[in-house]
Amino acid sequence: MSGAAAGADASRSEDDRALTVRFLGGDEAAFRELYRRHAPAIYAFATRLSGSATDGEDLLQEAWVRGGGRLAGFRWESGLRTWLCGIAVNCWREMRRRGPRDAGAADPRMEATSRVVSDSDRIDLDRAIRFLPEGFREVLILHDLYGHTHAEIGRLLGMREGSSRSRLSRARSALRARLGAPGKRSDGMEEP
Amino acid sequence: MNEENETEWTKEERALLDGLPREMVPPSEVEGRIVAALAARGAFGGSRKVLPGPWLWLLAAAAAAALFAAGLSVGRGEAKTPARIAGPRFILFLFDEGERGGGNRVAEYKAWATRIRAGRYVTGQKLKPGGRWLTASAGSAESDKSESESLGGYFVIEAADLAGALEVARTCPHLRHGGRILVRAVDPV
Repeated sequence: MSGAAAGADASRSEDDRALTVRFLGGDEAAFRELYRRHAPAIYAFATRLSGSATDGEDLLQEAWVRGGGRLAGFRWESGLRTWLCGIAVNCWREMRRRGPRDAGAADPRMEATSRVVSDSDRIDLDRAIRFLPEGFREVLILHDLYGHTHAEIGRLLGMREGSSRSRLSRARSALRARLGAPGKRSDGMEEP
Repeated sequence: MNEENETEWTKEERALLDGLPREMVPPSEVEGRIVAALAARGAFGGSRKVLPGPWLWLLAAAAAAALFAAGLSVGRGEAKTPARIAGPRFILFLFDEGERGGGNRVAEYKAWATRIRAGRYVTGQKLKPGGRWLTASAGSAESDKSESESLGGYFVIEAADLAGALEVARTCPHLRHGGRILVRAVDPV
Protein backbone atom coordinates (compact mmCIF):
# COMPACT_ATOMS: atom_id res chain seq x y z
CA MET A 1 0.00 0.00 0.00
CA SER A 2 1.32 3.46 -0.78
CA GLY A 3 0.24 7.03 -0.26
CA ALA A 4 -1.18 8.81 2.74
CA ALA A 5 -3.81 6.19 3.44
CA ALA A 6 -1.20 3.47 3.37
CA GLY A 7 1.07 5.39 5.68
CA ALA A 8 -1.66 5.91 8.20
CA ASP A 9 -2.51 2.23 8.04
CA ALA A 10 1.10 1.17 8.57
CA SER A 11 1.69 3.57 11.44
CA ARG A 12 -1.28 2.11 13.26
CA SER A 13 -0.42 -1.50 12.63
CA GLU A 14 1.52 -1.99 15.86
CA ASP A 15 -1.29 -0.54 17.91
CA ASP A 16 -3.68 -2.63 15.92
CA ARG A 17 -1.70 -5.73 16.83
CA ALA A 18 -1.89 -4.95 20.51
CA LEU A 19 -5.61 -4.32 20.29
CA THR A 20 -6.07 -7.48 18.28
CA VAL A 21 -4.30 -9.54 20.92
CA ARG A 22 -6.63 -8.10 23.51
CA PHE A 23 -9.66 -8.74 21.31
CA LEU A 24 -8.62 -12.34 20.73
CA GLY A 25 -8.48 -12.69 24.49
CA GLY A 26 -12.13 -11.67 24.64
CA ASP A 27 -11.80 -7.92 25.24
CA GLU A 28 -14.86 -6.24 23.70
CA ALA A 29 -13.52 -2.74 24.34
CA ALA A 30 -10.43 -3.55 22.28
CA PHE A 31 -12.59 -4.70 19.40
CA ARG A 32 -14.69 -1.56 19.58
CA GLU A 33 -11.51 0.54 19.46
CA LEU A 34 -10.34 -1.31 16.37
CA TYR A 35 -13.75 -0.87 14.80
CA ARG A 36 -13.94 2.85 15.50
CA ARG A 37 -10.43 3.33 14.20
CA HIS A 38 -10.99 1.67 10.85
CA ALA A 39 -14.74 1.53 10.19
CA PRO A 40 -15.08 5.02 8.61
CA ALA A 41 -12.45 4.24 5.98
CA ILE A 42 -13.78 0.75 5.28
CA TYR A 43 -17.34 2.06 5.12
CA ALA A 44 -16.38 4.77 2.63
CA PHE A 45 -14.44 2.22 0.59
CA ALA A 46 -17.32 -0.29 0.61
CA THR A 47 -19.89 2.37 -0.21
CA ARG A 48 -17.84 3.64 -3.13
CA LEU A 49 -17.18 0.09 -4.31
CA SER A 50 -20.86 -0.82 -4.28
CA GLY A 51 -22.23 2.61 -5.13
CA SER A 52 -24.73 2.34 -2.30
CA ALA A 53 -24.52 3.26 1.37
CA THR A 54 -26.94 0.45 2.19
CA ASP A 55 -24.76 -2.12 0.48
CA GLY A 56 -21.72 -0.42 1.97
CA GLU A 57 -23.21 -0.92 5.41
CA ASP A 58 -23.76 -4.62 4.72
CA LEU A 59 -20.21 -4.97 3.43
CA LEU A 60 -18.78 -3.17 6.44
CA GLN A 61 -20.66 -5.47 8.78
CA GLU A 62 -19.75 -8.60 6.88
CA ALA A 63 -16.08 -7.65 6.67
CA TRP A 64 -15.85 -7.17 10.44
CA VAL A 65 -17.84 -10.26 11.34
CA ARG A 66 -15.84 -12.46 8.98
CA GLY A 67 -12.61 -10.70 9.83
CA GLY A 68 -13.26 -11.01 13.54
CA GLY A 69 -13.55 -14.73 13.15
CA ARG A 70 -10.34 -15.01 11.17
CA LEU A 71 -8.13 -12.53 13.00
CA ALA A 72 -6.30 -15.26 14.90
CA GLY A 73 -4.92 -16.45 11.56
CA PHE A 74 -4.10 -13.00 10.19
CA ARG A 75 -0.37 -12.84 9.43
CA TRP A 76 0.00 -9.05 9.30
CA GLU A 77 1.56 -9.07 5.87
CA SER A 78 -0.59 -6.02 5.23
CA GLY A 79 -2.29 -3.52 7.47
CA LEU A 80 -5.48 -4.53 9.21
CA ARG A 81 -7.49 -2.00 7.23
CA THR A 82 -6.13 -3.31 3.94
CA TRP A 83 -6.96 -6.84 4.97
CA LEU A 84 -10.50 -5.92 5.95
CA CYS A 85 -10.97 -4.02 2.69
CA GLY A 86 -9.93 -7.20 0.91
CA ILE A 87 -12.61 -9.13 2.76
CA ALA A 88 -15.10 -6.42 1.80
CA VAL A 89 -14.10 -6.82 -1.85
CA ASN A 90 -14.76 -10.55 -1.69
CA CYS A 91 -18.07 -9.95 0.04
CA TRP A 92 -19.00 -7.48 -2.67
CA ARG A 93 -18.30 -10.07 -5.33
CA GLU A 94 -20.51 -12.56 -3.53
CA MET A 95 -23.21 -9.94 -3.24
CA ARG A 96 -22.99 -9.25 -6.95
CA ARG A 97 -23.38 -12.93 -7.74
CA ARG A 98 -26.63 -13.01 -5.78
CA GLY A 99 -28.21 -10.50 -8.10
CA PRO A 100 -27.82 -7.19 -9.92
CA ARG A 101 -27.35 -4.06 -7.86
CA ASP A 102 -28.63 -0.60 -8.62
CA ALA A 103 -25.32 1.08 -9.36
CA GLY A 104 -26.99 4.22 -10.59
CA ALA A 105 -28.80 5.09 -7.40
CA ALA A 106 -27.49 8.35 -6.03
CA ASP A 107 -26.61 8.23 -2.39
CA PRO A 108 -26.61 11.43 -0.39
CA ARG A 109 -24.21 9.96 2.16
CA MET A 110 -21.53 9.93 -0.51
CA GLU A 111 -21.89 13.67 -0.80
CA ALA A 112 -19.78 14.63 2.15
CA THR A 113 -18.08 17.97 2.01
CA SER A 114 -14.89 18.48 0.05
CA ARG A 115 -12.45 21.30 0.49
CA VAL A 116 -10.73 20.86 -2.84
CA VAL A 117 -13.28 20.62 -5.59
CA SER A 118 -16.76 21.83 -6.25
CA ASP A 119 -19.68 19.67 -5.17
CA SER A 120 -20.91 19.20 -8.71
CA ASP A 121 -17.52 18.06 -9.98
CA ARG A 122 -17.11 15.62 -7.13
CA ILE A 123 -20.62 14.20 -7.51
CA ASP A 124 -20.03 13.80 -11.24
CA LEU A 125 -16.80 11.97 -10.52
CA ASP A 126 -18.35 9.68 -7.92
CA ARG A 127 -21.21 8.92 -10.29
CA ALA A 128 -18.81 8.20 -13.14
CA ILE A 129 -16.85 5.83 -10.93
CA ARG A 130 -20.05 3.99 -10.02
CA PHE A 131 -20.71 3.34 -13.70
CA LEU A 132 -17.30 1.89 -14.46
CA PRO A 133 -17.54 -1.76 -15.48
CA GLU A 134 -17.16 -4.34 -12.76
CA GLY A 135 -13.52 -5.25 -12.18
CA PHE A 136 -12.29 -1.93 -13.49
CA ARG A 137 -13.97 0.10 -10.80
CA GLU A 138 -12.39 -2.04 -8.09
CA VAL A 139 -8.89 -1.50 -9.46
CA LEU A 140 -9.33 2.24 -9.92
CA ILE A 141 -10.73 2.70 -6.41
CA LEU A 142 -8.04 0.59 -4.79
CA HIS A 143 -5.17 2.23 -6.71
CA ASP A 144 -6.15 5.81 -7.33
CA LEU A 145 -8.27 6.51 -4.28
CA TYR A 146 -6.81 4.26 -1.60
CA GLY A 147 -3.20 4.06 -2.70
CA HIS A 148 -2.80 0.31 -3.03
CA THR A 149 0.02 -0.97 -5.21
CA HIS A 150 -0.64 -3.24 -8.15
CA ALA A 151 0.99 -6.08 -6.24
CA GLU A 152 -1.48 -5.59 -3.40
CA ILE A 153 -4.40 -5.29 -5.78
CA GLY A 154 -3.28 -8.47 -7.48
CA ARG A 155 -3.36 -10.29 -4.16
CA LEU A 156 -6.67 -8.76 -3.12
CA LEU A 157 -8.46 -9.43 -6.38
CA GLY A 158 -6.67 -12.59 -7.43
CA MET A 159 -5.14 -11.23 -10.61
CA ARG A 160 -1.68 -10.60 -12.03
CA GLU A 161 -0.02 -7.26 -11.47
CA GLY A 162 -0.03 -6.70 -15.21
CA SER A 163 -3.77 -7.21 -15.32
CA SER A 164 -4.19 -4.66 -12.56
CA ARG A 165 -2.10 -2.13 -14.51
CA SER A 166 -4.03 -2.78 -17.70
CA ARG A 167 -7.38 -2.47 -15.97
CA LEU A 168 -6.33 0.73 -14.27
CA SER A 169 -5.34 2.25 -17.57
CA ARG A 170 -8.64 1.28 -19.17
CA ALA A 171 -10.59 2.44 -16.15
CA ARG A 172 -8.93 5.84 -16.28
CA SER A 173 -9.67 6.16 -19.98
CA ALA A 174 -13.28 5.11 -19.44
CA LEU A 175 -13.64 7.57 -16.58
CA ARG A 176 -12.25 10.40 -18.69
CA ALA A 177 -14.56 9.47 -21.53
CA ARG A 178 -17.55 9.44 -19.26
CA LEU A 179 -16.73 12.72 -17.58
CA GLY A 180 -16.17 14.27 -20.97
CA ALA A 181 -19.33 12.87 -22.52
CA PRO A 182 -22.29 13.19 -20.14
CA GLY A 183 -25.11 10.74 -20.76
CA LYS A 184 -22.81 8.08 -22.17
CA ARG A 185 -21.71 5.03 -20.30
CA SER A 186 -18.09 4.03 -20.45
CA ASP A 187 -19.05 0.89 -22.32
CA GLY A 188 -20.74 2.94 -24.99
CA MET A 189 -24.29 2.23 -23.84
CA GLU A 190 -26.78 4.96 -23.17
CA GLU A 191 -27.34 5.69 -19.52
CA PRO A 192 -30.80 4.56 -18.38
CA MET B 1 6.31 4.78 -21.16
CA ASN B 2 3.86 2.04 -20.25
CA GLU B 3 0.11 1.94 -20.68
CA GLU B 4 -0.58 3.16 -17.16
CA ASN B 5 1.70 6.16 -17.47
CA GLU B 6 -0.01 7.17 -20.66
CA THR B 7 -3.26 7.53 -18.75
CA GLU B 8 -1.76 9.17 -15.65
CA TRP B 9 -4.00 11.81 -14.18
CA THR B 10 -3.32 15.45 -14.80
CA LYS B 11 -2.75 17.69 -11.81
CA GLU B 12 -6.33 18.93 -12.05
CA GLU B 13 -7.75 15.43 -12.30
CA ARG B 14 -5.66 14.28 -9.38
CA ALA B 15 -7.01 17.16 -7.30
CA LEU B 16 -10.52 16.08 -8.19
CA LEU B 17 -9.83 12.51 -7.05
CA ASP B 18 -8.11 13.73 -3.90
CA GLY B 19 -11.22 15.73 -3.11
CA LEU B 20 -13.36 12.63 -2.75
CA PRO B 21 -13.94 11.74 0.92
CA ARG B 22 -11.98 8.69 2.08
CA GLU B 23 -13.89 8.24 5.29
CA MET B 24 -17.59 8.18 6.15
CA VAL B 25 -19.06 7.66 9.57
CA PRO B 26 -21.19 4.51 9.41
CA PRO B 27 -24.62 4.41 11.07
CA SER B 28 -24.08 4.00 14.78
CA GLU B 29 -26.14 0.83 15.10
CA VAL B 30 -23.80 -1.10 12.83
CA GLU B 31 -21.19 -1.34 15.56
CA GLY B 32 -23.76 -2.87 17.90
CA ARG B 33 -24.85 -5.41 15.31
CA ILE B 34 -21.28 -6.48 14.64
CA VAL B 35 -20.47 -6.78 18.33
CA ALA B 36 -23.67 -8.81 18.83
CA ALA B 37 -22.75 -11.16 16.00
CA LEU B 38 -19.26 -11.67 17.35
CA ALA B 39 -20.60 -12.09 20.89
CA ALA B 40 -22.95 -14.79 19.66
CA ARG B 41 -19.88 -16.58 18.38
CA GLY B 42 -18.33 -16.37 21.81
CA ALA B 43 -15.75 -13.77 20.86
CA PHE B 44 -15.92 -11.76 24.06
CA GLY B 45 -15.48 -12.34 27.75
CA GLY B 46 -12.59 -14.77 27.81
CA SER B 47 -11.90 -17.91 25.86
CA ARG B 48 -14.24 -18.68 23.02
CA LYS B 49 -16.82 -20.99 24.48
CA VAL B 50 -18.53 -24.00 22.97
CA LEU B 51 -22.18 -23.79 23.86
CA PRO B 52 -24.05 -26.91 24.84
CA GLY B 53 -26.63 -28.77 22.84
CA PRO B 54 -28.93 -27.25 20.26
CA TRP B 55 -28.23 -23.68 21.30
CA LEU B 56 -24.87 -23.81 19.61
CA TRP B 57 -26.27 -23.78 16.12
CA LEU B 58 -29.11 -21.53 17.06
CA LEU B 59 -26.71 -18.87 18.27
CA ALA B 60 -24.50 -19.45 15.26
CA ALA B 61 -27.56 -18.77 13.16
CA ALA B 62 -28.07 -15.56 15.08
CA ALA B 63 -24.56 -14.52 14.17
CA ALA B 64 -25.15 -15.45 10.57
CA ALA B 65 -28.21 -13.25 10.60
CA ALA B 66 -25.97 -10.28 10.94
CA LEU B 67 -24.45 -11.13 7.61
CA PHE B 68 -25.83 -10.36 4.20
CA ALA B 69 -29.54 -10.05 3.93
CA ALA B 70 -30.39 -12.92 1.64
CA GLY B 71 -33.96 -14.06 2.01
CA LEU B 72 -35.84 -12.39 4.80
CA SER B 73 -33.94 -9.31 5.76
CA VAL B 74 -36.15 -7.24 7.91
CA GLY B 75 -36.24 -3.58 7.17
CA ARG B 76 -33.63 -3.59 4.41
CA GLY B 77 -33.89 -0.45 2.37
CA GLU B 78 -35.94 1.23 5.04
CA ALA B 79 -34.86 3.96 7.40
CA LYS B 80 -32.11 2.78 9.69
CA THR B 81 -32.50 2.73 13.44
CA PRO B 82 -31.64 6.26 14.51
CA ALA B 83 -30.10 5.48 17.87
CA ARG B 84 -27.45 2.98 18.79
CA ILE B 85 -28.88 -0.19 20.27
CA ALA B 86 -27.65 -1.12 23.70
CA GLY B 87 -28.81 -3.35 26.53
CA PRO B 88 -29.44 -7.00 27.31
CA ARG B 89 -30.24 -9.15 24.34
CA PHE B 90 -32.86 -11.79 23.96
CA ILE B 91 -33.51 -14.28 21.21
CA LEU B 92 -37.07 -15.08 20.29
CA PHE B 93 -37.16 -18.60 18.83
CA LEU B 94 -40.24 -19.05 16.71
CA PHE B 95 -41.56 -22.60 16.67
CA ASP B 96 -44.25 -23.58 14.21
CA GLU B 97 -47.20 -25.78 14.91
CA GLY B 98 -48.29 -27.58 11.77
CA GLU B 99 -47.94 -25.83 8.43
CA ARG B 100 -45.35 -23.09 8.14
CA GLY B 101 -46.24 -19.64 6.99
CA GLY B 102 -45.84 -18.41 3.45
CA GLY B 103 -45.12 -15.09 1.83
CA ASN B 104 -47.89 -13.16 3.54
CA ARG B 105 -46.67 -14.17 6.95
CA VAL B 106 -43.14 -13.16 6.06
CA ALA B 107 -44.39 -9.72 5.10
CA GLU B 108 -46.42 -9.54 8.30
CA TYR B 109 -43.43 -10.47 10.43
CA LYS B 110 -41.26 -7.97 8.62
CA ALA B 111 -43.79 -5.25 9.29
CA TRP B 112 -43.82 -6.21 12.96
CA ALA B 113 -40.05 -6.14 13.17
CA THR B 114 -40.03 -2.75 11.52
CA ARG B 115 -42.51 -1.46 14.08
CA ILE B 116 -40.39 -2.59 17.00
CA ARG B 117 -37.17 -1.70 15.25
CA ALA B 118 -36.34 1.55 16.99
CA GLY B 119 -34.06 0.65 19.84
CA ARG B 120 -35.28 -2.93 20.30
CA TYR B 121 -34.94 -4.97 17.14
CA VAL B 122 -31.45 -6.23 16.33
CA THR B 123 -31.87 -8.85 13.67
CA GLY B 124 -33.94 -11.81 12.56
CA GLN B 125 -34.16 -14.52 9.97
CA LYS B 126 -36.64 -17.02 8.66
CA LEU B 127 -35.19 -20.53 8.63
CA LYS B 128 -35.72 -23.15 5.96
CA PRO B 129 -37.41 -26.36 7.05
CA GLY B 130 -35.32 -29.34 8.05
CA GLY B 131 -31.76 -29.46 9.24
CA ARG B 132 -29.53 -32.12 10.71
CA TRP B 133 -28.59 -33.01 14.26
CA LEU B 134 -25.11 -34.23 14.98
CA THR B 135 -24.21 -35.87 18.26
CA ALA B 136 -21.06 -37.54 19.48
CA SER B 137 -22.93 -40.68 20.49
CA ALA B 138 -24.35 -41.08 17.01
CA GLY B 139 -20.90 -40.83 15.46
CA SER B 140 -21.16 -39.57 11.94
CA ALA B 141 -24.81 -40.51 11.66
CA GLU B 142 -27.17 -37.66 11.01
CA SER B 143 -30.79 -37.40 11.94
CA ASP B 144 -33.36 -35.10 10.45
CA LYS B 145 -36.02 -36.07 12.99
CA SER B 146 -35.66 -33.35 15.50
CA GLU B 147 -37.22 -30.34 17.05
CA SER B 148 -35.31 -28.21 14.60
CA GLU B 149 -37.87 -29.07 11.96
CA SER B 150 -40.43 -26.89 13.70
CA LEU B 151 -38.07 -24.01 14.36
CA GLY B 152 -39.19 -21.51 11.78
CA GLY B 153 -37.06 -18.51 12.58
CA TYR B 154 -35.87 -16.14 15.23
CA PHE B 155 -35.57 -12.54 16.20
CA VAL B 156 -32.88 -10.95 18.31
CA ILE B 157 -34.13 -8.03 20.34
CA GLU B 158 -32.94 -5.87 23.17
CA ALA B 159 -34.97 -5.28 26.29
CA ALA B 160 -34.32 -4.16 29.84
CA ASP B 161 -35.06 -7.61 31.25
CA LEU B 162 -36.91 -10.84 30.56
CA ALA B 163 -40.25 -9.28 31.40
CA GLY B 164 -39.61 -6.57 28.83
CA ALA B 165 -38.59 -9.13 26.23
CA LEU B 166 -41.74 -11.14 26.89
CA GLU B 167 -43.79 -8.00 26.52
CA VAL B 168 -42.31 -7.44 23.07
CA ALA B 169 -42.67 -11.10 22.14
CA ARG B 170 -46.36 -11.08 23.03
CA THR B 171 -46.96 -8.59 20.22
CA CYS B 172 -45.35 -10.86 17.62
CA PRO B 173 -47.83 -12.05 14.99
CA HIS B 174 -46.37 -15.53 15.27
CA LEU B 175 -48.58 -16.19 18.28
CA ARG B 176 -51.72 -15.28 16.35
CA HIS B 177 -50.78 -17.89 13.79
CA GLY B 178 -50.70 -20.59 16.45
CA GLY B 179 -46.95 -20.65 16.85
CA ARG B 180 -44.93 -20.79 20.03
CA ILE B 181 -42.14 -18.41 20.98
CA LEU B 182 -39.28 -19.34 23.26
CA VAL B 183 -37.61 -16.27 24.77
CA ARG B 184 -34.04 -16.76 25.96
CA ALA B 185 -31.60 -14.21 27.28
CA VAL B 186 -28.18 -14.01 25.67
CA ASP B 187 -25.57 -14.61 28.34
CA PRO B 188 -22.87 -11.99 27.70
CA VAL B 189 -20.06 -14.11 29.02
